[in-house]
Amino acid sequence: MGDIGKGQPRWSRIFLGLFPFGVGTVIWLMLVHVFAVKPVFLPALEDMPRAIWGMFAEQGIGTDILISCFRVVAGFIAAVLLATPLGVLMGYNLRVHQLFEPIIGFIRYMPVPVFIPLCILWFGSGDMEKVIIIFMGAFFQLTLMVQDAAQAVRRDFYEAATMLGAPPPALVFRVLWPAALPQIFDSYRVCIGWAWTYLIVAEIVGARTGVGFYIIKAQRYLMVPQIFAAMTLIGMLGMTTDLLLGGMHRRFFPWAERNNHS
Amino acid sequence: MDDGRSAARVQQAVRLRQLSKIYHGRDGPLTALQGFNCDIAEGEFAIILGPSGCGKSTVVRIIAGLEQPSSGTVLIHDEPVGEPGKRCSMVFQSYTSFPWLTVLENIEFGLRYSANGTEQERRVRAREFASVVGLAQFENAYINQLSGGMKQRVAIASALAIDPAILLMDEPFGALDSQTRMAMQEQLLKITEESDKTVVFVTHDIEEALLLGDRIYVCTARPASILAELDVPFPYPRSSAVRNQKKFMDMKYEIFHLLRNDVYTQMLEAGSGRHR
Repeated sequence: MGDIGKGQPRWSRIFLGLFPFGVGTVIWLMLVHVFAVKPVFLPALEDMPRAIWGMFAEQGIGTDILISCFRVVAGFIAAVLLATPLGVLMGYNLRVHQLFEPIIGFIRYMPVPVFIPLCILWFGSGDMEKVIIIFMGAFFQLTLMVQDAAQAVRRDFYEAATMLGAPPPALVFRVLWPAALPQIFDSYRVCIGWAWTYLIVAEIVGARTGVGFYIIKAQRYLMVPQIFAAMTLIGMLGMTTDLLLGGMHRRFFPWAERNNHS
Repeated sequence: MDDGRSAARVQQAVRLRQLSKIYHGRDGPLTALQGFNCDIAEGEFAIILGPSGCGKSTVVRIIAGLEQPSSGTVLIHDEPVGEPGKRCSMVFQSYTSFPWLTVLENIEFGLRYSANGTEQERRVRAREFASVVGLAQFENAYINQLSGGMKQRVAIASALAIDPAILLMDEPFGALDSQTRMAMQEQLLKITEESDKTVVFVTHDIEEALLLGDRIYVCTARPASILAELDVPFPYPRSSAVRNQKKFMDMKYEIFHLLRNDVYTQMLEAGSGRHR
């Protein structure tokens, strides 16, 4: 309870991390071979490699993945670029906070899928619409998370900086920003997870390309192994992104890494 | 050293006249200071001593320019306080060195705004002050890797590096354990003996006041005003050994008696739960 894993060997950490995957695989094998679940509901594990090969070689899922990644990254970056300065200003200045908080609170409780019909009406059903849906889903939440991070900066840091002669702009750029950045970066990490969710939502309604669309198509033709394979792929893409951002966090903010699990 | 101090005593570094401060909180107005008068001489190590919560921190925060008095005047070298951070620097009780910067970068932080030198010169100066507080070997450490005492030494180095007219210290050793506190007091003595800077040091610790100060301004409980002013007779260079002198113990007892009534009143007030 509460220990931080000091002196724990590396293999033990890796083993613990992989264990649930192993359990999942065993359950899968048992469902297919012991309980004889029909392949229409659950494909055999042995059929998976062939399905995955087919997806890339014959059905060109590689292109769909690239398209999906592009949409996620575009929507995410747009959200980051706008939410970061707005959130920082809201966290620093009470009046900016009072100006934007209510409207953001109002919009962010609207479920993202309700924007889809309007977005299709206004922007068509191409990349633009998908990117905007992802942006809508990420931007409002992210703004509030960045604001929280900015607000959490200790007040006495501002006083200390002021006493060292720092003018107000420096309080934002040389105190608030570096102090809040690790937490802001964490909110990016959470946000990109949502971006994937909104992408799939957007690609399930009115799309002709992308991983989400591929899953809908596979379901239509009862290509069950492919549904599983595509889901695994999304999971792997998400996990890779997360590991990457986690590594960047450790690299960029060594000072903020004390007493942390990751 | 001692001669330099008394010669410079002609000019007043800080002049507080009829200072009052009233906070308007949820429980109604709270008077922290009332009729606070005090003159701190140039080059003096002035101690503002008072019971906890008496409003003595408010005094230094007003001198710093972080807070405005409700009435009264504050003059620093015969001029109004103006913007904070221009003439005074401050060491806070909480650890305010920036954790995202290394020791050296922390000390450099204020130099960017006070000194006109190049980056190179600022670095040299920061190095110099890191070694003044004995942190030369920890220049590149992050703040969270340091102990409480070391964190306060970084704060002191940062505050001194910008060469302020007046150094304000608001219970800087209040959060340290007693052994570290004693070591820090000795180090601060050594640092301030070598400069002729005016220091305004807030504490509730009578021994700390006697060990460090040239002159002690004893405050009443809230609302704070000056109860007594005492010259500390121990010559420089001083060390912890003065604690064993009879004069030290006599003065300690004298000050305790001065504060006693006020402290008891304060305790009773705290017991009643409502502070006015």
